Amino acid sequence: MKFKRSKEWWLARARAEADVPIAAGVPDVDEEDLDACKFVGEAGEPELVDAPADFSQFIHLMRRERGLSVEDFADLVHIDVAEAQLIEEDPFYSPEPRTVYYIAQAFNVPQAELNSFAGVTIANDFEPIADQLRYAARSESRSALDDEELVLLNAIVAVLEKRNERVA
Amino acid sequence: MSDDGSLIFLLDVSTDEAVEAELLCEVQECHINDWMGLWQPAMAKIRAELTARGIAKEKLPQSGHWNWARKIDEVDGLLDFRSFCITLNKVTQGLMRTDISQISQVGRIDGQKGKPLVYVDYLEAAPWNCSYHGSPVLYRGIGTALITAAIGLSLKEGYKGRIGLHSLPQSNDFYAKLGMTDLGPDAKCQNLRYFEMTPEQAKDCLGEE
Repeated sequence: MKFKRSKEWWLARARAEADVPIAAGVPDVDEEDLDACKFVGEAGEPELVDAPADFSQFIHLMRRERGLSVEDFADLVHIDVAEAQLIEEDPFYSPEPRTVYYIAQAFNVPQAELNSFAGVTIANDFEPIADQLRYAARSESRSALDDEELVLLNAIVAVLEKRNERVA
Repeated sequence: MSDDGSLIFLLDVSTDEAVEAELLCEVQECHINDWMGLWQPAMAKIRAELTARGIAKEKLPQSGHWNWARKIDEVDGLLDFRSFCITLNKVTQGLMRTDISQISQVGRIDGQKGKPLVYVDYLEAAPWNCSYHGSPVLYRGIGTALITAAIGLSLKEGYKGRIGLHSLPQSNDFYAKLGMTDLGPDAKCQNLRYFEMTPEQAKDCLGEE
């Protein structure tokens, strides 16, 4: 199939494009993960917790569930506070395998699955940017989870354990 | 220019001039390699920069999460799916996968209901071609070129230019400005807005040379 249009035709349309990110398509949800993230609402209808959750969201919820501050968490997994906040706030940040190991130990979740969840295969090439970040410890970040957050956290842990069982 | 490619032009934003690019009717391994080796690190860098600027998590880029290697691999050899890509200087600038099966998606607009269309499963421009909270854009025209390809496929299949897609929220204005009809949030597709193009709208979009 060939597309024949003049340079002027393409240029006019490129200039007319709305200045927004361009994408289409339904976000991915692994079918098995979807099942694990479903729960039954008050009306008896299945509801979907805000899935798929990402690694950063999982760490944020798990840390608060354990009553840890960002500093506590950083100490626990042997990283600095800046990286701890980066892990929670940037869903594309990929921690070192060593860090994932310590997180798995600290939160008692399967390390192999957590490693996969953390996306350690994504290039971790923005250390210089991370170094420039100045973080202020957030006192509210130690607050307890509400019911919805707790359901989501449990769903994520269930997914990790389910994946682990599949592999085992 | 490869035998199966079409010469198109994109706008180089830095020079405001047209640059030659190629529209290909098949996503190949080299394009997937670009997605893995160039797109993902670029998206990670953009996200890190936006996060450092204090941009709220919900306003970070909404695309970038699709595994294009899997998207292309899962329809390999299936005649109901066609993939397209745009390259410039041998670098992949945009990717699209379409579904012409009519199994899950047919016309929804009044007067077009039930009629066949090309459904755009996935469409994405490379991270450096998208503006996120003022980040610079390298080339413009990728989205238009891919939609043009979808319309072309629709015409070739006898679907008269009808296409449909679910837009990510950050992209709604793009499809509205192209002249597609916004049928609103689709509860069956994570409440993404569904856009459809009629044969008449396709004709307007392609325009006269």
